[in-house]
Amino acid sequence: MKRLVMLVVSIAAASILASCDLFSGLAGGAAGTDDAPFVYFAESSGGSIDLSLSAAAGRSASVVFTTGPYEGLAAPTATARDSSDVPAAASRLSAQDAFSDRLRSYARENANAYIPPIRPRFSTTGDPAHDVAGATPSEASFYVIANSSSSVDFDVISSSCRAVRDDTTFSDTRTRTLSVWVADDCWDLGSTKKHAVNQTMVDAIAEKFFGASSDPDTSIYAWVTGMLGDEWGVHDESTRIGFGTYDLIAKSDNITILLADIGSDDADDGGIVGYFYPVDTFAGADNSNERIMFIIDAVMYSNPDDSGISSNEPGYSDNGWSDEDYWAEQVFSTLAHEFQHMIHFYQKGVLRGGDYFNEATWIDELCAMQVEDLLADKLGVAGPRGMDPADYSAGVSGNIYGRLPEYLLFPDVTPYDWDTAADAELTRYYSWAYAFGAYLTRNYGGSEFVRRLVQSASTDAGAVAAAASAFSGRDESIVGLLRRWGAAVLLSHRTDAPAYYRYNSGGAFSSSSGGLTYNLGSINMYNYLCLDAIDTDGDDIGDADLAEPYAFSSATIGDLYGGAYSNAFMDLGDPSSSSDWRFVLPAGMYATVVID
Amino acid sequence: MHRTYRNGPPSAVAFLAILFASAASAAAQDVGWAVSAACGPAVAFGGALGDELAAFEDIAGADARYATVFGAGLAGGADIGLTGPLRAAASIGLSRLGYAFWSPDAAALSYLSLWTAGVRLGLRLEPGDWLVGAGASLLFPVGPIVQYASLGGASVASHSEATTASTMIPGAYIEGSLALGRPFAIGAALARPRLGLELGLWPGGLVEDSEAWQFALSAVVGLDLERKAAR
Repeated sequence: MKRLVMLVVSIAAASILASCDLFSGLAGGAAGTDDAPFVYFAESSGGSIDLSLSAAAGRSASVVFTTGPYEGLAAPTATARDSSDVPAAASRLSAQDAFSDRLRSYARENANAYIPPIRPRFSTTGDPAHDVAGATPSEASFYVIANSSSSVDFDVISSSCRAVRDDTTFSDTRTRTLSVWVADDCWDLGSTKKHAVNQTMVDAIAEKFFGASSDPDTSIYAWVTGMLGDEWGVHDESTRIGFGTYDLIAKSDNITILLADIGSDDADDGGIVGYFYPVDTFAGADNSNERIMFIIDAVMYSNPDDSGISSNEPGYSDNGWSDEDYWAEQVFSTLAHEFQHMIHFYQKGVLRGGDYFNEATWIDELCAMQVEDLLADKLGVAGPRGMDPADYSAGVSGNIYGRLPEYLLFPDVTPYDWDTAADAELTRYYSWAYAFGAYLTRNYGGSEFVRRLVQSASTDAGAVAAAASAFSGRDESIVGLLRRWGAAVLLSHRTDAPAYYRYNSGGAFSSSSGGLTYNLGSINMYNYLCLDAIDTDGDDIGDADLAEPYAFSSATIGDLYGGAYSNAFMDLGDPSSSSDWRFVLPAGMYATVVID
Repeated sequence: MHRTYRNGPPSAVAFLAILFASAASAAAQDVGWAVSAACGPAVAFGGALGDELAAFEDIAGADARYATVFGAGLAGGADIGLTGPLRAAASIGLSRLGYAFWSPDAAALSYLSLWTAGVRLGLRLEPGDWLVGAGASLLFPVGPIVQYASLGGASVASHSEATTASTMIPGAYIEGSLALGRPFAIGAALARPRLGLELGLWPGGLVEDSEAWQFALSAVVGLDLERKAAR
């Protein structure tokens, strides 16, 4: 009996001594002075959360509100319970208008229900094997999207073949041919556009895409296929893609690039730079060019101004076209972007039967922008990071280039509004997708992350989680990734952020696929600048710049939209002076606290 | 698929409930009562907690490990003689469970705790002063989810609605104890102290989809109660 008493007393005593919760106050907390980044995941989703923060003075605390898959959640409420220093939020220009404009409807479903009609018709473009370039070029008509607001209106554009690269064998044994066609109304002396394409430009785009004849492996084609796989190849005669069955053109070793004025708008400083239209691979379908091809805007590509200024604008300068001009570099980056879409369609839809035509837009675009990012240094272009490609550091403050400045202003959009967004709002979704993708590639395998996402039949957010899980070996969820991404954004000014929270190592993030190495540069969100983003005097005109991710305050958090798969930031101030908060969250929303 | 057993009435509990009801009617004259308090380490492993520990390790360093929280309980119940030394036992009570992670190098820790109310049904073998028993338990969250984490110079504590706690937390227990000393009077009842140990296991964990193995080892101090014999 004595032994039992001793045993019971020992267990009781040991449990008290070993219980972390009873001695939590001694485990660090406010007693320390360490400034290590600290991330706290509140377990609950929805309901009230009473929060107490503790840290040395001078640090800053934020909360990231993350939504799961449900649209239209109510905004959370946040109340400081004992604060003497509650931070205020800046007034974001047009943010409220943008949010109120968004209809929480199911129009996206209708848009995605579109299946290209298939009717027998003869191809206008002929067999690529018969493409002839030069003094007596092949002539044909191509279907080119007529305007930027619709994807179903097409112009028929008379074009001529201006360059052909015969069988080119890459080191991975792929052998392909390349045809470069130019719309006749964009060609040299016959051009009716602001700028004309000439043979130098045709040769330059061919060389960027297929490499020099003596060095095909230094090319967009080799770099992207090395990462993602074939752009086209054998497939079932009647191919099932998702829930539909399609007749596709046969295996082809040709890729065609058409330079034309997309939308016939003669715009030379913005708009649609290029596109891949999967229906071009359909046999006998309306508006199909029946080629493995993409279309590049000829007017922008041939704009000779170094900085990309339109010939209509003051400051425009024509000092001769160069492949280092602003729009030439944009086009080369776009080639990589569109080539990803081409491979994405083949690998996910054609080869694996994934429901490509109903895939969330942001997933395909995220991959495309990551390919741009991964190839930026190889192409020698700034890419979506907006940095000197040879500089892998996070650069310096005041960067207004690339996709990230607009992300600062709209970090809280939901990618599921992409398909119903007004044209003027579209760029913020690209910025969102780039920012999320840039986090994922820098933390979950770089080029291999993109390959896993592309070479998967899955077309929803689960594909992103699966690609991340394949790298980390953990059971990743999309909500978990979003929560960590939110923390990584807030910690991006630090080079000592923990693994899986890193945007900024101070140098390159390297990865390998297909025997090739790909490098990504560091990102510090606080080095970017969104000009005239903040309205400080209430006149709805931006009069101040935004140099950090937009953060709500307790007074403005009610404006949060709450769309699916979104992150919104809220500033909690200095945790040593504003320490106690109560949040009330709708079900499906999660809170993550970051003390920096 | 885990929801099938986590949210459905476990067959063992149903079986024991029927057994207990049958025994109560058949042996109403042999009923014992007891109250107890317990404390001991509570810990959870496996399932999604493996990934949670890895996530904690990301922040706190490579020496992160599982740790314990202070488990506690209060219970009251009855037992009924079935045949010979075999008795059916039932009780209701409150339990505090949870789990923790600790990184000694970084002086970092993180824990989650939850108060639950529940019912236990089981069988006991009680040939004399000592007894051993086993059975099923079913717990329900009754308080907020309490979380705390600290690293270096910062800490966060929160009390949040138990929206992500499992609606029902089925599990099992084993127990052993020894009655001590002589009975003493408390009002109209005779009480006899009892000391023992219990091990509880809840294989679905406390939190939805965690699929963790939640354990609690408790030292138990109790009182066996019986009505004083009439003069």
